[in-house]
Amino acid sequence: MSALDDFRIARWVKRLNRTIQILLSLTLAIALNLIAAKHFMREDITRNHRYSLAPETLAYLQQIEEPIRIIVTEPTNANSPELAEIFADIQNLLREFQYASRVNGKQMLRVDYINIYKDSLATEELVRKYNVKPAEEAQIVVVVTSGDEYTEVYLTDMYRDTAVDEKVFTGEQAITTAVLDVMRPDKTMLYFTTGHSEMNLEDVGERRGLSQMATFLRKRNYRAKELDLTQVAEAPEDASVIIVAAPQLGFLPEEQEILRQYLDKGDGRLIVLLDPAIPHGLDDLFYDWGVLADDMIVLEASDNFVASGGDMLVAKFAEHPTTDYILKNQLKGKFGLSRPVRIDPGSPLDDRLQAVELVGSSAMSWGERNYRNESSKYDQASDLAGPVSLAVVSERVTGSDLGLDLQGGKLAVFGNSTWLGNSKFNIGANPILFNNVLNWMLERDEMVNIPPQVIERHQLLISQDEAFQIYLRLLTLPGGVALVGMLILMLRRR
Amino acid sequence: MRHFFTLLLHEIRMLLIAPASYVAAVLFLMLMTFVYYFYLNAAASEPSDHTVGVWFFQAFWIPVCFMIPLLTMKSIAEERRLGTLETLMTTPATALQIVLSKFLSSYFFYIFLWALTIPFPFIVHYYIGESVPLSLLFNHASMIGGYSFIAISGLLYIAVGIFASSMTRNQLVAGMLSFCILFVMILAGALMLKVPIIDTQWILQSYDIVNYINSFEHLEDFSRGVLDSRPLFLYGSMTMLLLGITTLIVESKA
Repeated sequence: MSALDDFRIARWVKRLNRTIQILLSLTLAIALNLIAAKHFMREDITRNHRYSLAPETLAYLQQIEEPIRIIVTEPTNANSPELAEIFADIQNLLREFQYASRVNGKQMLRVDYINIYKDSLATEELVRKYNVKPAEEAQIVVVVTSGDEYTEVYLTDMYRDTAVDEKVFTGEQAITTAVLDVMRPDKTMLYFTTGHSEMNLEDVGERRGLSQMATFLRKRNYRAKELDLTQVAEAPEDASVIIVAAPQLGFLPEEQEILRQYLDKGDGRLIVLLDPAIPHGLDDLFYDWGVLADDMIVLEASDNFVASGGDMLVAKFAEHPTTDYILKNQLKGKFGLSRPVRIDPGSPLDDRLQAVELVGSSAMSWGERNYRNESSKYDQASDLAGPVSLAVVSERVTGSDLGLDLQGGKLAVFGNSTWLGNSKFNIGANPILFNNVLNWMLERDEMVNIPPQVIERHQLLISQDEAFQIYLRLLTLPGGVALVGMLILMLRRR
Repeated sequence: MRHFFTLLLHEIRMLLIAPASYVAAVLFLMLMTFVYYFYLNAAASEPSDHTVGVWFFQAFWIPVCFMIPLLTMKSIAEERRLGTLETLMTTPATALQIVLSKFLSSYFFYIFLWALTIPFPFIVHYYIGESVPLSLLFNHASMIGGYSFIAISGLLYIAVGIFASSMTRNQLVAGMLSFCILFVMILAGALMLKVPIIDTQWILQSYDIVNYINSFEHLEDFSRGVLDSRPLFLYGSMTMLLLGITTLIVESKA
């Protein structure tokens, strides 16, 4: 008789066999979960893809090279439902950020939630390293860090009230901006021309102030500087975009030449905002780029295109990377009194020049040439028939013998400047259009927009009596099951 | 396979004609009715960005902790106590088929019970009318997600119950064991981060693992309408593991 046939040994072999089977199964389960944790799918099936990140955010998160850490302090006031909701919004958002920030299976963004009373080390780190002082009533602090760079995101940046019972959550925008801020310390430089009474970034005035735009640019990780073209021989090398914001005096030919050189030789990018009835001195430059800014004003006769305050509503957008989101969501922009800016029919033919009339007024509007005589009737002989183009974007594509297309300069001319002024900057499609034009110029088309999320809050209109009646009706379900049970019991007894 | 289906049909038939099943079903529905009523009142008392459905699913662990032990404690423990398990093992049916038939019958019944809660929003809407739109009560994404989570997590929870039942001859012990395992499994992840100790830095280090197994984290995603493939793997693989171990236990103890 062999030793294996011995009863005791056979039992041990069986036990060993089972243990090995369990261990192998456990290993398989762990391995499967490790793989699943790294390669997974998430599908947001909500109607408006409420919990999905914007393509812009996803594109940025995929570009993370150095690990990013986000520290969030938990609300310490347990009796505040509002804080709890804010915290939940932030948690939901950051969860998606974490999932989307996996680059080649590696988690590039980590989120730490800390309780300032329990996590003494992390709290100390917040105070010492990041200069943040989470006090008892300070509630929720969000700090985004990467290496030595860090920035704090304020709750005021994450919410915007639009109505009494409606909040707009702009957390994605705020945190993406912060991530960019720590990710790319070298910021994009925008130059604003001066010397012609242009609109100013520090001006908080309603109509000609650009302080709202300044905040917008800061949040988007742009830096802005002033540029006096009379003081320089050529445009600065670090100029990503030059913006001419509503000059009240004409540009000198030398200044125009600097801008022309910047566009032609330096693959420059120029945004020009014009006011009607004011000469700007850039006609020759526009001619080269196939743009014509007529000395007219656009008068709108359609009530559907005039806002209650008398401003022009712009709802006609051409198909262009800068208007995709606006067209998809049928948004409207709000402009002030404008001059026509259209493709110059007389400009020299150039295959490399691509110009698009971006924004237009209604078919019932017209370009009034004789506006100084206070005439407000369409004159077929002299006026421009509607719809009138209010903006043109023009770009030059440089071809080569190899068949490659290389980007050349880009120019955007708008026949109105107040749409970017403080009073209208945050209205409708205005900030989106501006942002998209900037991104298009900087060839960041895939990173066009982060739409804010409207947080819909509902309250059921049910009285206490109705609720009790509902409760009684809901009880019909267990009642029905109990009845079926009793019937079966009776049948079985028979 | 023929033996398996014979066993499965038998198990389902036994569940459907057992008075205990109906007692459990009535208790389950009464509890869920109360839970729904409670959240309905909450939704009527103040505005919220969540629908009643999202809140309703947050209470999933309450019926899980008491229903699953009730449903499964008898399955193998009773067979062993009565000595019928040995008889079953002498038939052409394998231990795996026996375990699977018990598992699937309990699982179908569990899913059937949850399916009975689907009419809740419709009953409310039918009574109240258009003043409470159905979309506020029955959000498709939330409902699909919530019930998907119930279906996926139910696999593991039922497997735990069957496993507990295979460990002992005593139904009560099996029920208590099942309750304890489920309680720890569901609430451990959530509670771990709320442990009242001074410094939780060590927990933060394992935050990813805790998050990965935290049922509430998965439910949070699913009930909002965000479907994720990872819980599917977690619950699926753990179910298979537990059913495998249960089969080995049945084989060894029969």
